[in-house]
Amino acid sequence: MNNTHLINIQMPWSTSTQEVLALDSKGTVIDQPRADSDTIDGKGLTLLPGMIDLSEWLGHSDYRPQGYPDEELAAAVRCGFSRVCVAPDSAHLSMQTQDRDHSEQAMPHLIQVGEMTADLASQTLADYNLMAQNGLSHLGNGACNPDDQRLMLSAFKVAQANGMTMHCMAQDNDLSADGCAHDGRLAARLGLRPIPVVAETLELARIIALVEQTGCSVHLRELTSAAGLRLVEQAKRSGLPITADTTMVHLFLSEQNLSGFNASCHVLPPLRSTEDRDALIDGLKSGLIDAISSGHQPLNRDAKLAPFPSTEPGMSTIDVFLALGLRLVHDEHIELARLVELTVTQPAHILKLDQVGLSDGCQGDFMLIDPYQEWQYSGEAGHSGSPHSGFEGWRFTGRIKATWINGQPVYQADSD
Amino acid sequence: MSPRQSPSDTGRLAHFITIDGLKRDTLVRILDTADTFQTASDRQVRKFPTLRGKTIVNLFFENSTRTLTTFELAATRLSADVVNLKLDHSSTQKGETLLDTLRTLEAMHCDLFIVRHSDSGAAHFIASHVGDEVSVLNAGDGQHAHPTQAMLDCYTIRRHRPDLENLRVLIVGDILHSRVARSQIMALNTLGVRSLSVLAPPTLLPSAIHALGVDVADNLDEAVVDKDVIIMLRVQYERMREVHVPGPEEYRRQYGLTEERLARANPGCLVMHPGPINRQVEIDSSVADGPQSVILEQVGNGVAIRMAILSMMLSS
Repeated sequence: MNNTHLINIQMPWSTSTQEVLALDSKGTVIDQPRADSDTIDGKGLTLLPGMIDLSEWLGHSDYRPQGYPDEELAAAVRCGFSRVCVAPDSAHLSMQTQDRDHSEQAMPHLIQVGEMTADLASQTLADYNLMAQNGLSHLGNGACNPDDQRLMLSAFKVAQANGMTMHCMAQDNDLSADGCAHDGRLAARLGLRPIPVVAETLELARIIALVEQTGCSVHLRELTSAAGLRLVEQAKRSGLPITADTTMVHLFLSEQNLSGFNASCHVLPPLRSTEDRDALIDGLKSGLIDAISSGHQPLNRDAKLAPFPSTEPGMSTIDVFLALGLRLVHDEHIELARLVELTVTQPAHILKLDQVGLSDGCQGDFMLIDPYQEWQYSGEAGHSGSPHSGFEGWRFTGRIKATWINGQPVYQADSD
Repeated sequence: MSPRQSPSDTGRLAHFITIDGLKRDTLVRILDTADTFQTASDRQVRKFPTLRGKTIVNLFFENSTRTLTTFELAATRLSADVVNLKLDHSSTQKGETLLDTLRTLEAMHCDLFIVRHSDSGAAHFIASHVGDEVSVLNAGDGQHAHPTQAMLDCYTIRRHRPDLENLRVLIVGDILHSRVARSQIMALNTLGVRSLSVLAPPTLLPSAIHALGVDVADNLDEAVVDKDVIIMLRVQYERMREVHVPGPEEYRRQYGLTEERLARANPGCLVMHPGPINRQVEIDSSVADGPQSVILEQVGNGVAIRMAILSMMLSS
């Protein structure tokens, strides 16, 4: 063993002609393997680069599962994520996590999103210059952008001047306050406090106007609606520096899944209509949506032990994220190469990361999957410590067999 | 997991949480059973041994005097043991607290919880977490459902107009926040009224109201024409901060039931209101107290309908 691995891969779905992947002793992808390399036979399996999650991890909640955040981050690696973003209010958590000795558990690379406003209080701007000096190039304000228009304008101006990208949710604070469901059929039937689509479009219009004014780069997080996508389309057509993602949750579930007060599907932003869901899938095909994020919000059992409106919003998604992506491929909505774009290449581009992928010089973050293995998801049996998921009991085709971080094997399915 | 509320082979209702999903036969049976209790009461028979030995807990997380009283009266008249628990919703938290309360009560061998709560879905949640031997009756949950109120309204209508299939019904007022309206709509549609319309200020109407199976009217002067039943709902001024509610004068001008407007409806049109009433706002006193009003009768029928439902849930 000379710390060099050679993986001979058949890639039945990929358009890539690459059939072997070689790593040097530092875990970096190299063009040609050395003659004395160890080899791993990946016959029948597919090699994919490690995924990058634009959803923000480690944000505060009173209902995190046991072992959080370390065990949840380790679970992310087993689920194929090599990089995850970290919420702006969680710098201390991510630093503690990085400082800890993780000889037992491999962790994904953490990408810190800085605070748009000091302490996310939406009162004054944080110190952008200092953050830029510390290497942060992404800012956000969690789930709530400041209402103050002058503050938002200032934030976008200063971010633009420092070459930083704003990561913004698009939910108007007033219109979504206390809401727990899409303003549609189910909310009308179940008497749930609604969040109208205009909560998204109004905030999108404001953000787009600010981008137009300042030239600040913005990444729009977790879009949910057809109307929202139309605004993004116009903005992109105008050449504005805007990118957008939606979550795997919003691509597969809709307001219908709230039927019977299913608290596992209480998420924010809310699951919208089936027409909205279909528009999001069309957005993947057309390129209007640049990336798919997980929307992963791990919660303990207590978080959902209440009547629906009083439950904590969020669900666990990392265990099914890749399988759902593969379903998009199986259902011929997108090609496998497009799935890689949406979960790896474009997120890397948005986060200004280089050396991501399977080409020469990239870090050795990747996974082997069996694209044809059938399995059934159970939240209790998943890698995530959170049992709440709207995908409980779903059957999937395609499963991760092994993952590598920095060229080191960190997970093998059979060893579970 | 959704709790099962449809009747078993023996006709017993496991839970009574919402009208949604119940069949017409079940609703008719509730109305027929209420008739037998009402008829007996009219003959001065006030007490029945039906639920002797059963324990019913009124679990009220929300203030209520009228509903609590009618449930207590109904259970007592069926000879059940009744415990009233008024719990502070704000002191219950997510997690084990609410479930602990339920399990403590279950351990005392209670047979039925009557639940009122400010959260939509609360009765559903509780029914999903109690043991099979315990039934749950929804006495109003958030903006979702108030099925016993809807059934007593249907019962009141049927006593005057048994030909439900010929009736044109109009519901006027705050549909958005009204659990009563949602349950009325489902009950009247299930029972097969000829037409069902709603009319509300635009800020007090759910966006997807058509999904509930109603027509939407926009002018009360026109909407009342040909109606056989008009149900007025209370204006909830405490909602003023979350949505715009027209002021009292503006409301009465556009949405208030006056004698002039009632005169445009079919002769003998029933006037109903679940109470409490804002007089001279959604309904004029002369109409509320007039010959076509059955508002007081609604209150009286509340006991019979609740006796019917309790007996169908708990009797062997």
